[in-house]
Parts: sequence; structure tokens; C-alpha cells
Amino acid sequence: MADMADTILKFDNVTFRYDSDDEKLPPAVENLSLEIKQGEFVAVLGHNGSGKSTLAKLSNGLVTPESGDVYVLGMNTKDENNDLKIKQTVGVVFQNPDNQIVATIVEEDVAFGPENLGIEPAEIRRRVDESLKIVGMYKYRLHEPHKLSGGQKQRVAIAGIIAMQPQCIVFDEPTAMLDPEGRRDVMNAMKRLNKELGITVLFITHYMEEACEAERIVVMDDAHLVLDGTPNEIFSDVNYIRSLGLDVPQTSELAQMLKCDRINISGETLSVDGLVNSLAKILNRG
Amino acid sequence: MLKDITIGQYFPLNSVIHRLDPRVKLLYTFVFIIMIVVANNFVSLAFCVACALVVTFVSKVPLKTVIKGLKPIIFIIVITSLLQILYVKTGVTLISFWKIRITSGGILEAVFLTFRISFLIVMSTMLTYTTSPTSMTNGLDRTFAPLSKIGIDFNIITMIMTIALRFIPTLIDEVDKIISAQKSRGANFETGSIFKRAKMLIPLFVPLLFNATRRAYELAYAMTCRCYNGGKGKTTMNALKYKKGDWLVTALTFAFVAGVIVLNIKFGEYNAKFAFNSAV
Amino acid sequence: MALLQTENLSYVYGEGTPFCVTALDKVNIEIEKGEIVAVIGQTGSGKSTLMQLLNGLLKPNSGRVLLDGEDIRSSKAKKLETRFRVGLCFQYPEYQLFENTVYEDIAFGPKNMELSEGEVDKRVRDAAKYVGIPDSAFKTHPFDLSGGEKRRVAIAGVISMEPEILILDEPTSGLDPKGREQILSLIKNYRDRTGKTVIVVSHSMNDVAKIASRVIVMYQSKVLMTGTVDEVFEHSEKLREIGLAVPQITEVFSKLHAKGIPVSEKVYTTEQAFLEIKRVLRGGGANA
Repeated sequence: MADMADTILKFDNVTFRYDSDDEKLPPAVENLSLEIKQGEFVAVLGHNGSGKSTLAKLSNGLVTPESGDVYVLGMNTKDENNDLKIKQTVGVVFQNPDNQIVATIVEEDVAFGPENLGIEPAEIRRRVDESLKIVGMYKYRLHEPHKLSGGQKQRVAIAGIIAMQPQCIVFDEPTAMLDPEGRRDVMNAMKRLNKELGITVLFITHYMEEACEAERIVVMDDAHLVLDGTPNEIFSDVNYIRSLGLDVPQTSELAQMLKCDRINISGETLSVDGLVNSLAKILNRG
Repeated sequence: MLKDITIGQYFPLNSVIHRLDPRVKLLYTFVFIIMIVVANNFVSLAFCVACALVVTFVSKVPLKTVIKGLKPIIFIIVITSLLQILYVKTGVTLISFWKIRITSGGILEAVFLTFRISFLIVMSTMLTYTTSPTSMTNGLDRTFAPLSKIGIDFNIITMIMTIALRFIPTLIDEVDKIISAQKSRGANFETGSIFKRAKMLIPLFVPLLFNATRRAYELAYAMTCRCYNGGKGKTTMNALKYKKGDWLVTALTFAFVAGVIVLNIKFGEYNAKFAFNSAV
Repeated sequence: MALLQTENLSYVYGEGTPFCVTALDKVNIEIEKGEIVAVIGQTGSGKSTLMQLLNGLLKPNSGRVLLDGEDIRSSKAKKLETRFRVGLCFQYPEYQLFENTVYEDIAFGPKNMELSEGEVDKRVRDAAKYVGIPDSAFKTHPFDLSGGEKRRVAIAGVISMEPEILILDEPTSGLDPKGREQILSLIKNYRDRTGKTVIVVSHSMNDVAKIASRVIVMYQSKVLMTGTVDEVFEHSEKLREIGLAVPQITEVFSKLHAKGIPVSEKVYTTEQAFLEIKRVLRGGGANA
């Protein structure tokens, strides 16, 4: 039972297709099993159309499996009685920040979730202020969302989810439409949520550098889960990753090229600083 | 260009009027409109106009802006005034030629109506000038919330209004962008026959509708994720609360209503009051 | 004389209102025939505004844009000519697709140019080839394509006008690695086969480093620096400071350099990195 309590999100042999009547349509997700533990920071990698965004929609019952089950804290997403509790436990942040902001003023948008949950006004106010502070948007609380930059809007959207006090947040390519600065800000916000608030993060992306910041990476290809491991494990097989239509971090690629050339490089080679240290060792020797 | 259109004509200032509860402003604007229609003689009307001018002055919205707000209805004012002048045949005949006879009654009635319509509009625009769209939506929501008891769900209507307000700037940007992009492919939106121009709306509207639909789907997902269920059991962070100013304005409005009624009785019905009906 | 050139080009949004923003401030750039120029900068640096001024969609507040040495706003004919000679493909161009078939959408531009039917057909087929859309997809509805395919059809819609200068605003944004790779290689191919000029706007040095012959860096409405990819990468620290992403490997080599290891800082591909390490291991020492 203790083990069950640790698992926040469980996909049990899940198959899903967008039109279940159409037998010819290939499933978006097929026979997928995956368990996410409380407090984890997991990245989901895969090229466009690999099924990774469907994973986000399955995670809190926006869509339900054709076969198999998805459990949130042991609650089956197919059970409509759990609906509100599930949505409150697992929040989703989507790719396009413009299309998830509802209100015309930042703080009113953040209040939208708690208001729907029927929470007391004073408590909503407290949560809204706190959520905006966590993502660094407090001073913009009275601004109009459409006048903010993409990265700022995305952080408002994140605050809107945090204000519902979820235990897990699924980020569906939240950085895909942002510029480097916006991407950095959103990355930092996600890391803070995980480290400081202990929120479980499932981060769907196709940017390798970003995925490397997770503790665990899950790789999807053609509706299937094909790899599951630490960033170091995942990127040790440069050629396989590339065959999946994914980028390989330049650091891993260089390490691989050196190894192929029998240049003995040891230690961590995935992060920039790790590679710098490993390279410094062999170069200083020479 | 398109971006210059102001929606709702809100004039952001920080006046007593701006800070009033939107429900108060909605209700009392409505009361004013009724009273200016009820006013049946020049003294009552002058009283209404004076009160409207005081409100305008207190709101700090420049008089010039308020008068500009009348521009769209000048045509209506001119036409109704002309009708009054031509059809009302009471009082002394001033000019008479061919089949036309202009009387003092007609002129007075025209002046009366001009003031009535103008200030009716002035006060309505004062409402939009001093109330932000968001605040207005909030006010409407709260004012009509009791309707849910008789099965009319006003929550959905205000949600639609909020989303419309939220997405108007986004869609305006989108229109600008699509126009620029199609222009870059040689589309000509400015010249040519009406038929040609109408045809040019396809490259604009097809993508616009398609994109709006896509946005709507995504927004629906996002709203579901945030536990939206049609507003049942919803609370509000910025709950509207009546403040001292709102009670003061309530008292003043009562005084205003009483004033118009007293003046109506004291100075009697302006004798050409029903002339408008016969004119139409 | 440069093919396309700007003279003290300035542009202000909302001039005369309290909300006015200077988007471009006395910008002078020169584009030569046959170049692939990358214009990089953060969102709001003025790069997209500059592109819309280059094909005459926007009217500068001051300064001029010269095409073949002649002001593009000098006459109505010149304005129209510029629109066709300088082809601009906006960011997320797939959101502007509207015709019922892929073929019709690619043909929209050439038809607006009032070309003969045969010429339109030839251009559509050529453009489709450049972007790798097979003839068999011509009758498909554009909305039925995948994201990457839509993007390529939209780019074909500009290429089919055969502009002398092709401008692409953030052509790879939102695409996955495979999609990005396809777009970048089609741009390079297009340039190599036609010899035409291409301007690519981006905020990713990673992407443009692979294809650009010259880089213009924009920052706060001005041109911050311009030069070859090598020259610009010498300032990788500065680039990072102004919010631009620099290739990871460049960062590694900057840090190695800072540690006093005699490696070059002008490294931005793994191949270069590999060769550089081998050179140092052979005892190459500092590269003069």
C-alpha cells in the first residue's frame, strides 16, 4: 500500500485513438504503461505526432483510454465521480499561452480555477498572490494578458494552475512557442515548483537541452514508450536517439565522437560543466 | 489601423465615478434614462441636464470627449428635430410658405427632444467611459445573478462576454497578420471592383475562422483543466461590496428622482408633449 | 551597389500616442545578391519590423529602403514590383493557408501576379519540388497535412512567386528537430540551386549557424553587430547577455578557454569541436 501512495500517476496498458470508431486510424498511444512517483521531475521526449501530447490529455481525464486505465492517486480517470478531484490533483499547462488565459486581467485569470472550485474569496486572494509570486509575475497582476510577452503569458498560465494547489502538473510543450529568454524563465519556474513546492512535474518537450534538466526521461515513438531512464542513460546511445528523429545534445554527441576515436574520456559528459571538466582532464594531460 | 478601435470606450481615470460599484452605475444610469424620458417640461429637463453635467464634471472625463460621443447620433437628432419642426403645429406660426408652416411649438419640441436624446446618450456613454469592460461584466454578472433562480443562467453569458473581451485584441492582431501575409503574396485588399474585393475576403476569413476554431478547442481544454463547469458553485475573488460612496450616490439618485417628479407636477406637462406621437 | 540596402531606417509604432514604441532606430544594412543572411535577435528587437519594411508592407517614419539603389517607395509601380521581388514568409505561415487544395494555395501568389496559366503551373510545380511536397499531395486539403508539411506548403506559396530575395521570419519555430532540419536544408538547397538571396530571421544561433553566410545581430531596435558566423560567435558571451541562445558546444569551449586551456572559442558544431580537441591533443597549442 505504501508503494501505491507513492505513485501519483499510473498509465496501465493504455491505448487511445482520437476516433475510436475508425479502426484504420492508428492509435495515438498504444499499450503504454508508465508510473510517475510523487515529487519526480520527468521529461517526455518524442517528435511531433509521437503521441506525447495525447499523454498529457490522458493524464487528467481530458480524454479517456480506449483500453487500459489511467489512475491519479489511485482514482480511475474513467470514473466521472472523480472528475473534479482529478483535475484538481493534476493540472495541465498547454503549448500556446494565448489560448489558455481566460480573463482580461492577470490576477482575475489566476483566480479562475479556485473560483470554479468555490473557494472562499480571502483564500483565493492569498493563493493568487502567492502563485504569481512563485512564477515572478506578481508585479504584473493588474496588467492585461494580451500586452505581455509569450514567456510572461505562459507564467501567468502556470500560476493559474498552481492556484488550484495541484500535486502534479503536466506541461505540454510549454516552451515551444517562446524565445530563448521566455524558455529560460518558464524552465526556472518549473524547477522551482518541483524543488520548493514538491510538485510532481511531467514535462513534455522536444528540446533536448531542456529534457536533460529532468531526473528521468521517457522517450515516445509512434505511440509507444521506447525508452525510460536517466538523461545519462538515454543519451548514451546517440545513434538510436537520432534514429527516432530527435536531436542529441551536442555534449553527448562530442563525447560519442571522441569515444569512437578511442580518445578516452571519463566522467560526466552530458551537462556543459560536466563535459568541461572531463575535457579539461584529458586536455591538460596532453 | 484596426488596433486604434477602442472597445467599450473605456476612459481610464481615477475619479469618484470611476470607483463606484458597477452595479450602482448600471442601475442609476437606467434610472436617469427613465427620468429624462419622464421629464415633461423644460424645468424638469433642465434639472436632468444639470445633474448630467455635474456627473460629467465629477468623472473628470473631458467634455470634448463626451460631446464626441454624440457624433454617431447627430443624424438621428437632426432627422427627429426636422420632423418635429415640420409636423408640430401648435403655438404661434413663425414662418409659412408653400405647404410648410413652422410654428413656435414645433421649434420648442425640437429643442426639447434634442436635449432629451443627447443627454440620454451622454449618460449612457458616461457609464462606458467610467467603467472598465471587466468591471462592467462583473456588474452585469452580479446584477443578474438572481435570475438563475428562475432558470436563466446569466453566468454563461458573462463568461462569453469575458472571453470575447479577452480575445478581441488577440483576433485583431491575427487579422493584421493575415492581411500582411496575404499582401505579401500579392493579394490586393484596397483596390478593384466590389466583386474582386469581396473575393479577397476569402484569404482573410478562411484562416481567421479556422484559427479561431482551433483556439476555441484549446481554450475549452484549458478551461476544463481549471475545473470550469458552467459556473455552478462559483465564488469570486474580487467580490463586489457597496461602499460609502455607493450609498451616497443612492441617496442622491433618490433626491434626483424626487426632484424630477416635483418639478413635473409643479410646472405641468409641456403642452406639446404628445406632438411627437402624432408626428410619427 | 548592394541589391537591397537600408539608409537610417526608423520605425515607430503608434506615433503621436502616449503608447508609441520605437521598433527600429536608424538601421543601416546591406544585402548582397546570393547571400544567406541570418538576422538574429530577441523578440522585440525589431527584426520582424525590419522585414516588413524591406518589402514595403510598412512605411518607415524616416530613412529609406533601396532595391537596386532605388527607393522602394519612389513610385507606385516600384512599390508593387518590390512586393513581388522581395518575398516575405511570416512566422507560423501555415496559419494563413486558405485554399481547398495544396496546389491552389501555392498558386495564389503567382495568380495575383497575373501570370499565364502555364507559367503558374510551372511555378507551382517548381516550388513544390524545392520544399519536398510530391505532386501526389496537390489535391490534398492543406488542413489535412501534418504541421511540418503545412509549413512547407506555406513556404512554397512564397517561393512560387520566384522572389529575388526570400525572407523567412522564424521558419523553424514550433517544429520538432526533424522538422527544423528539413526546413533548414530546404532553404540551403533553394539558395544553392537558384542562386537567389535568402534572409532568415531567427532567435536561435544553433539553427542559423548551419546555413548562414553572414549574420546581423539586432538588439533594442538597432544593429548590434554584423559579420560572418565565425566573427559573430567570437562574441558568444555578449550574445548570451542579450538573451540569445548560443550552441551548447560554444559554451563548453568558452569555459575551457577561460580555464586557460589553449582551445579556440570559435567552435559551434560538434565536428569543429572534435577536430579542435584532436588538434590540441596532438600538441597544437594556441591557434594564432
